[in-house]
Amino acid sequence: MENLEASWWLIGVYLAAMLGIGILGRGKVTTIEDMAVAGRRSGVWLIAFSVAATWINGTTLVGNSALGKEFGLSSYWAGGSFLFVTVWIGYYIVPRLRETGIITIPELFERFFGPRYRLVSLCLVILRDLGVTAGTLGALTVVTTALLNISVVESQALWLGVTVVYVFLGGMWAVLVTDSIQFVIIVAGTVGLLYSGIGQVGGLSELGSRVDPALLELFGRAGGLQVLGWVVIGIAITCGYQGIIQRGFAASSPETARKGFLYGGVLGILWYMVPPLIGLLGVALHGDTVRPEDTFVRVAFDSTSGQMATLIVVSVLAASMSTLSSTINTLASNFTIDVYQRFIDPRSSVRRQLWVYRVNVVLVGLLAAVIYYLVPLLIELFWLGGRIMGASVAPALVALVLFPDVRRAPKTVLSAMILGATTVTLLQMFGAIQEVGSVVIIWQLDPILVGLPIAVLTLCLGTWIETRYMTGNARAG
Amino acid sequence: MKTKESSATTPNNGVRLDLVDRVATPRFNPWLVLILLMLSGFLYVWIWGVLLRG
Repeated sequence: MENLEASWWLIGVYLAAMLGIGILGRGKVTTIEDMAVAGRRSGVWLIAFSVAATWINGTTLVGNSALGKEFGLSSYWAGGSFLFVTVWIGYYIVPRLRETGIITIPELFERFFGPRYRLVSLCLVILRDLGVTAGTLGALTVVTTALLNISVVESQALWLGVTVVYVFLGGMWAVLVTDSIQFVIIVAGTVGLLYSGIGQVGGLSELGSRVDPALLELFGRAGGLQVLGWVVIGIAITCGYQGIIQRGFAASSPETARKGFLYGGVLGILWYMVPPLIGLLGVALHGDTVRPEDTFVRVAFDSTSGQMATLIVVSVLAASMSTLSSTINTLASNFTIDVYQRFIDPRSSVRRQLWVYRVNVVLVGLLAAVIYYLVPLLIELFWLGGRIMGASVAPALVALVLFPDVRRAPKTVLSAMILGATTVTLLQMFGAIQEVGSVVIIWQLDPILVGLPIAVLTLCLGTWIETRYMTGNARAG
Repeated sequence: MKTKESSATTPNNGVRLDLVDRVATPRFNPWLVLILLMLSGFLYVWIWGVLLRG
């Protein structure tokens, strides 16, 4: 990758704006609830833009464009599936969870079954969110060190530093407002890039004629089973993705949450075709001379220059920082509410809790940086913990919300979570791999396709066995 | 309150367990809606395929 003559003033304005929002948000934070869910006062569009922005990040741009080059339009499902499920949970899950008054998912497990369940679900939820935080930070580091000729330490200090500062100061309110601005920047930068790239090729149909027809098929080179795997990952991960679900808790009412998830989901659904199209542009413009993981950067900066190129850099920053801020805030809420407040010092003052929360924001940022150094495979990093969470906490959570009988079956819920998580962990360690791609592993059978059915089957059979001798009143939920 | 009796049997620190049911779920079958949503995604991908083939 070549260095870019970036307009640092534009990057500076962007970073200053994000910091300014953090400073503005400081006055709005007086309780843990303000910090974690913006005092539950947010409106529809703040939720909608934030939901959409959280699902788009640097890994999406770099990783999914690489997938687009390798697998064509079918790679849409590697990201798009999450947004369809976002609309779905916005109707069936989030408004109901919001009414319980919880802030974190592990809180719900404790309410139903006690503290042990809180700890198990906490570990599984954290696995996913730490992976996302580290993966997002990694993608941001890879792109910006190459483009802006800065070191890894400088890159992480700048982007991670600014993100941590505005979350530290303004909590969820700052996250929601910066997300909304970041979403507008992401759309402006990436749609501008697509327009410019497609124009350079000579139009949409010319682009289609320059690539292998297999790349334009519904299942394409990835094959039906892998596409199904992506769809199932989307369902499983989204249903238990605390960072997204907490957006709904920040809404001012169940209806606001529902509409926010609907609008945000639809915006994301439409946008998620951008990376596959950039991948196809990579094929048309560069053929095999460019590695898949370099596709986004090459297409972006061969098709644009000057301020437009800098706008794309800022889009990458915006995409990554919106996700980073979300997962950092979510993890800090877990460490503060589920660990410190629940088990270490339940009687601590609000002032002390807020400080612990803010220290956790900083610690989570540092932890993510360390994890990225240890496991740098971008999208797979997202999915390692995501699959485990998706085959354990996610089905249990959906079952608890939709099926009252499951709430009377504690042993079943624990067994399903442990069986699902263990199966996926073992398969990710020893499962048959078809191909190690540039940013993901293509499995002969995606581990989630085994782990999730086992968890669901355990929930169905176990609940039936555990509740069959209960009286009518005790079974009713 | 239909969950009152069973709430007392679970370690929930006195918090009502039926709060989750205060918001009614939409009347459409959730699994059918999920399948339809996913199918609409395949339609979206197919439309882009058609546009690209000219």
